Amino acid sequence: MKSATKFHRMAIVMLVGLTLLAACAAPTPQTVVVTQIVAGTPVQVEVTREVSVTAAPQPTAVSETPPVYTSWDEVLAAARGTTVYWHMWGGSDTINGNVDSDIGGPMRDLYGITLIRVPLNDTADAVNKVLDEKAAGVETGGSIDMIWINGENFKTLKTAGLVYGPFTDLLPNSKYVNWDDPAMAFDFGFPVEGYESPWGHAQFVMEYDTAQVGDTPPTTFEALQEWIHANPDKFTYPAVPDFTGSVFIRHLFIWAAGGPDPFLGDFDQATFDKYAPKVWTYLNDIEPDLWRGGQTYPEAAAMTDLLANKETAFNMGYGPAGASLNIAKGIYPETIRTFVFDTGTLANNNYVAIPFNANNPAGAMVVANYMISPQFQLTMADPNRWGWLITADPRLWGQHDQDVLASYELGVATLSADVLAAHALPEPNGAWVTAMEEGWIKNVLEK
Amino acid sequence: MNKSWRWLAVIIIIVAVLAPLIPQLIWSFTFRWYFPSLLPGVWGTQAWEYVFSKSSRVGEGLINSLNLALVTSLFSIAVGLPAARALALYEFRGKSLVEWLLMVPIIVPGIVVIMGIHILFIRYRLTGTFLGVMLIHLIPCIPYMILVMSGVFANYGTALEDTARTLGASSLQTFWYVTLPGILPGLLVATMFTFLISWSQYVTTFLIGGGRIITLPLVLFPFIGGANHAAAAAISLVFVAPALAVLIFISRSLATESSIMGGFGRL
Repeated sequence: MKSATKFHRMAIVMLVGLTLLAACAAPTPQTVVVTQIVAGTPVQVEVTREVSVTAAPQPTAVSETPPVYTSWDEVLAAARGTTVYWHMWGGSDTINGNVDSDIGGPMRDLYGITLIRVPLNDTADAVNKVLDEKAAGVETGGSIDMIWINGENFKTLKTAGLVYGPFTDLLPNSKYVNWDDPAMAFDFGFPVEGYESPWGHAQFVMEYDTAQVGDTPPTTFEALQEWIHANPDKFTYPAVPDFTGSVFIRHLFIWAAGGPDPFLGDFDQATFDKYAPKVWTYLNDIEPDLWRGGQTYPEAAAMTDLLANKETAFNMGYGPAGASLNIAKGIYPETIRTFVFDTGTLANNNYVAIPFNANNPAGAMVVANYMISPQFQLTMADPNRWGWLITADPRLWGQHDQDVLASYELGVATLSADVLAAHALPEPNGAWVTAMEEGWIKNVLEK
Repeated sequence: MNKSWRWLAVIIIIVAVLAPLIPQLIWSFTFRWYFPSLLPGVWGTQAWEYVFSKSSRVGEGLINSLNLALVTSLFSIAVGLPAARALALYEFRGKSLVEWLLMVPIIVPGIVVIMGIHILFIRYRLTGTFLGVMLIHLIPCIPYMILVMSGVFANYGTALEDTARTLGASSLQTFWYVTLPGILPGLLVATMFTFLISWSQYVTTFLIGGGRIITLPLVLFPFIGGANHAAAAAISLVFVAPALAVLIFISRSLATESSIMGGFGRL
């Protein structure tokens, strides 16, 4: 029994140690009052942030404030010859290469700015980094100058008062953005208010294999339901809370409600309960005929493989030109095409935001300004380069630029901008998305 | 032990390590490859062109990763070797507590510790610096160094050193001519551990490096979840190559210097 007591002693020591460790690391909520004086307007924001209290020296130089600019000339003067660290998702060789050549190149040539991409696996990592820097009292000289961001990540930063700005009014090219359009002024139902600048537009499309589905895809949810029952094992969608899976469910809610309007405002349980049963009935009805009998749901990245390998006949996602690019890159066979639902598909924007403590906000603003210029938007819209949807309103451009845009030939699987625009739907507010995701887990996954 | 059997074992181990890399090699030269084809339908070199382009940042990452892994290993030896010797050969009060504390970084999930350390490092202005990233890599490396080396020291004992000292060798001479040759094979194994641990760090480098220090995992990981398997395969081959070289180097010295497994084996 000697070894048993020794084991007990060791276990107790470990337990005590772990408790001590946990106590040291336990976050204590602290309320921080941040005064930000940006572009002349002092804004007081109360931020509740979990700050780890550790025995460390107090931050030095808390009195520093981020630089304030009142004119574009000042911004340009401050930006010239600097380095901009842009934290952005880094999982696409196409986007990485394009950013370096089509944004980094002109920045170097026009302003002597060195643009350095910092590859992210997940944008939330950058958000956490900004939160950590705030907690450590880094009010200036932060490690991030600019983040590719939208939706919840932007909401987190802006609600905490951790974005620089408002700055979009300072950007000369902001005149090409139609800020009166709610689709631009609201990011997933959350007001932008000049704290982030758009660059690319995204709209949800369905991808299908004409070799399996034929030339007329099911463009209504009723037709899709019939197709799934007639062709078991050939359709699936990613499991919530996967981003793409969540978007698919949102479309069903909009279909059930006959339009997106009920979900644009604040969350309302009665409205949710009114439409949810129809969605759950639909999804439970198709489940036995999904890929692998609905026993498992794939990840979004795996959906591309499933379609490429003809295990399923459909994929879905936010890039209207993604299928064409995947064909060009050899990821998809040449028989893949895209369609949108008759009831419409959701559209949103890619933005860039500047953290409150950015070391080089002026440089970031110059980059953001270039990204909404007609010159870059045309490069981005070129189906042979990026194939993205533009975020600027081409009606605000000169005639020449409009002609260039009109002259582009679409990728083989890409729908025209007119068709997409006619079917674009605004994104529901974040609270609705959470309720829909939780509802799916309770009413579909666990049923 | 029969020598040919040992070589057979080494060959089996090498095949087991290398075989999973064959699909990676094929993928990296793939343009189109769909189920159920056994080999790609269309081959291509676009993934390698990307790897060698400046945009991929693979070259920069490779150099940083190598530098970090080497310097981290050296510091692990500097810190870990004396600690391992003390733990193996001396008895003192609270020894088991010290042993346990030294193992904590392997037991506690890294992400729990790293958040607090990140804030601390920001205050000391260590973020975004080579030194900061090296220090954070040391945390998971040191326990392995100590774990392996205390086993080696325990087996090695002090008898040979004592003999050398009685014969008039200075402490430096004793270390250089007696201790070091005795523990060297074990030290190689421990250094391989620390090299590989530093080599594969992602979260720590990301947080402390602040985007200023780009290493291979930082370049590779975003591709793993993506759809472009060719690029992911090509970058991962670059990632695996130096690690494999270290492994082969170590396994060769293990195969030739049989005495070393004594300390390691009884750990």
